[in-house]
Amino acid sequence: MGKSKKVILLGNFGVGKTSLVRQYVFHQFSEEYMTTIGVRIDKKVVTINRDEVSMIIWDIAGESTHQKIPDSYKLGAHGIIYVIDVLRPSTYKSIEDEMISLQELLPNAPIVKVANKIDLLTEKERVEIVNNLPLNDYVLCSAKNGENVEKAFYKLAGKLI
Amino acid sequence: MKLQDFKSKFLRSWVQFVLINEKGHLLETCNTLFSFPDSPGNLFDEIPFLESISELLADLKPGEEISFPCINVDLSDFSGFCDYVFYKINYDGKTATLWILMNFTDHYKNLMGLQQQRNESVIQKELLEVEKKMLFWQERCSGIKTKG
Ligand SMILES: Nc1nc2c(ncn2[C@@H]2O[C@H](COP(=O)(O)OP(=O)(O)O)[C@@H](O)[C@H]2O)c(=O)[nH]1
Ligand SMILES: [Mg+2]
Repeated sequence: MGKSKKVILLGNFGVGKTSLVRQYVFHQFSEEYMTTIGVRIDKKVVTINRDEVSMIIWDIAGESTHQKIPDSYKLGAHGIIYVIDVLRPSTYKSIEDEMISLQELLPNAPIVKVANKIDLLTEKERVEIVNNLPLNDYVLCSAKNGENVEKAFYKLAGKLI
Repeated sequence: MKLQDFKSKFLRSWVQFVLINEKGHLLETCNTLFSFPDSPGNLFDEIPFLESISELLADLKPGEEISFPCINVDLSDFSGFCDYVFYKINYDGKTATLWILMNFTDHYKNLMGLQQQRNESVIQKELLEVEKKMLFWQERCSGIKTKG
């Protein structure tokens, strides 16, 4: 069976969590917004240096803070992808507090931060906005055109083995 | 019929009970919502949700339970929204996991409509504010340029 890892996607609603999973697992994208309720589970197996990691991705309905999400969704998670929307400051203004409380809750789970919808910015805006984000080390992604989506999940998978 | 009979008749239509042994093999199921193939393999391999909580289930003590509200379910002939509850129980002298699936599809679909409206209006409002700010800065910048 290889190694099985529970990966949870967190971040405010509308930032593109569902779209990232759809792009990553099914290579599809839709402009139409369909809210997620509860949680949807998908699976993708990645190979890293001959190691197979089975990523079970929990695409969780977004809330302004992870504290509003049922505890059992987060229970036993091996890794976290935290997604923000580069166009909506409200989706990253409390990211520092969110990171701290997530690390307290899941001390052994690595977190990969994803700044999504990068396709909506010009080169100049990219530099400006990304430099002004709180914290650093974001993977700049576009669930729309697929840019760096694979890389974000791969980065997390690498931290899980 | 007694109240108890009505109760079990009513409950029967929207709840499925599945019994799984420690290794992940199906012991018994009632097929109310969906049916398993004739000889299902290891459920921890076949159903990603179960795969991802297999460690949690192994740690669950007899008498304990874990519940997961609002799971988007897509299992053979059933798709909808269920709440899941898992119990560790004693079955034929061995510990087993009882997986209860409660079908709340109509309720959650209704909730989904409301949430969609809430989210769309919040996002719309935020984007308008961002746009306003950008226009303000663009005007200021072009003002500085023309003055300079
Ligand atoms: N332009 C653009 N739109 C995106 C991107 N990712 C998601 N969206 C759109 O943003 C909206 C919300 O996406 P969704 O995946 O449902 O967000 P979630 O609530 O975090 O799951 C949808 O209308 C998507 O089409 C992206 O990378 N670029
Ligand atoms: Mg979603």
